[in-house]
Formats: sequence, structure tokens, C-alpha cells
Amino acid sequence: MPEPFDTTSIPDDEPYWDALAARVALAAVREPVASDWLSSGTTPWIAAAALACAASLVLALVLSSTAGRGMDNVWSASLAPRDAVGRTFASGDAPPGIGEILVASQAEARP
Amino acid sequence: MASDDRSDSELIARSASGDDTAFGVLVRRHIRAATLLAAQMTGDRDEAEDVAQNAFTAVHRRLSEFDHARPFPAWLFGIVRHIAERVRARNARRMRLWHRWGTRSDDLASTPRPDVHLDAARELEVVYHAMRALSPMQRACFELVAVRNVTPADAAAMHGISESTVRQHVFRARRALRAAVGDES
Repeated sequence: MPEPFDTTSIPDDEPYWDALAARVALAAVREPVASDWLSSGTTPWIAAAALACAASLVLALVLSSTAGRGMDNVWSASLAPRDAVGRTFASGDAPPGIGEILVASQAEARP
Repeated sequence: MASDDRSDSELIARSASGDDTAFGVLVRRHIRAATLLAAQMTGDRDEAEDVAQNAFTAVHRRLSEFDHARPFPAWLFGIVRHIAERVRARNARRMRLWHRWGTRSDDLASTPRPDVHLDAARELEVVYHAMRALSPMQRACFELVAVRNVTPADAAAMHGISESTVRQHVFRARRALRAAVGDES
């Protein structure tokens, strides 16, 4: 057994034990809350940090794949050239076909 | 303390069925021994109270696991010892860190606690000196039984040793202290 300490710092009167027992019993029967879980050691903090990292990662992925793409479309549309050929290049998901470019350029060339 | 004739086993059964008052009686019955044991293991009043609280919280969460064939104090003190050991290990890690960072932990350890009133009487000094010369378990048992009036049976359950061993420790401690005081006078 490791070296035991003396207990002179502990008062030994009934009011002290009554008060301590009341406090301890109340805390024990109380439903555990998140703060209790976090204060119970380092493991919950590590778990909470890992959870927060995972949530941030998922959020970042979702934003980059949905909202990010949406913003890209807005930027592409607003920065696209005004002529039909330029718009076809800028706003299309796939490169335009040669025929499409020729038709667009002929249409623009007409008065 | 209001007396309650119900056994620990009955109180646990009631507590397990949601009777918080019964649990309060159980806590009041054992809080002193649990806190004293925690204080002997941690050396700090606040930590001892925290250990006792965590132990009773653990008891409350595991009421259904209690083996009614066994005495409740043995179960409770086992939990107290386990939690207090973790506190000791954490404190030891902190001390090592302080050492590493150059803090003079010797100074910290030797700083007198403000809540400890040291009696200047010579005889008391002699007794304290003699107490420090006792083996750890002799001192622990002597303090519980002779100073705190804990029964040898409870002291045995608290430290997980036999009652006869407790009596032996107390006997040897008394003899050593008597000799120390006798030599001095």
C-alpha cells in the first residue's frame, strides 16, 4: 500500500457529515448531464474533440460538394463572356460541339 | 443522524427501485468511512470529498449489480479505493510534470495546509513524530481505530485486510507511540 496521509483536514462532527451526505446523495441520484461526462476525465474530452473534428470534416465536404458548386456556377455565369460562343464554353457542363460553335458564331454574325 | 433500522441490502433494493430517500440513508450511513478512507489515500480534503461523491455516484448507477450476499461496505470501499488510486496516479503524473518543468515540488508538498492547525504542545509533537515513524498501514489503522473510533471491522473493510491484521497494527502502533512518549517524559 502506498504511504497513507493523515486525515486531520477532515472535520469529524455530525453537521459536517450530514451536509456532505446530503450533497453527495443529491449529486449521485441526479441524472448525468453532458458537463458531468466531460468532467469525468480526459477520455471524454478526447472523444468530444474527435467527434467535433469528424463533424467539421463532414460539414466541409458537404459544403464543398453542394454549396461550393453552387457558388462556382454563380461565379461562372457572372464572369462568362457576353457572346454566345463564350457563354456556351463557360456555362456548359461539357465542351460544346463544333456544330454548336459554328451555329452560334453564324447567328451572331447576322445583322 | 436519524436512525434507520433497515439493512444496507434493504436500502439498496429500495434505492434500485427509485427510492432516493433510501439511497440518502445509505449514503449518510457510510459517508464518514468512505471519506476518511479517501482522505487517507489522497491526503486532501477536497479530493477526498470528490472521491466519496464519485464512489456513491458509481454505486447509484450500479445498484442492480450489487451482490446481496456480500456486505455493502466491502463493495463501496473497493470502489473508493479504485477511484482514489486513480486520483493518486493523476497527482503523481502532475508532480512529475512539475519536476520536469522545474517547479520545486518539494516546496509545494511541504507548504502547510491552512486548514491544519498544528498544536505547539511538545507532547503532541512527539506523538506526530512517532506517528511518522510507524509503517504506513500501522499509521492508517491506528488513525482510524484509535483516533477516529472506526471499528476494526470497518477499518479492515476499508483497506481490504483482515480484522485481526488491523488489531495487530493498532496494537503495535500503540506500543510504539507509548514508548516514544515514555522516552520523551
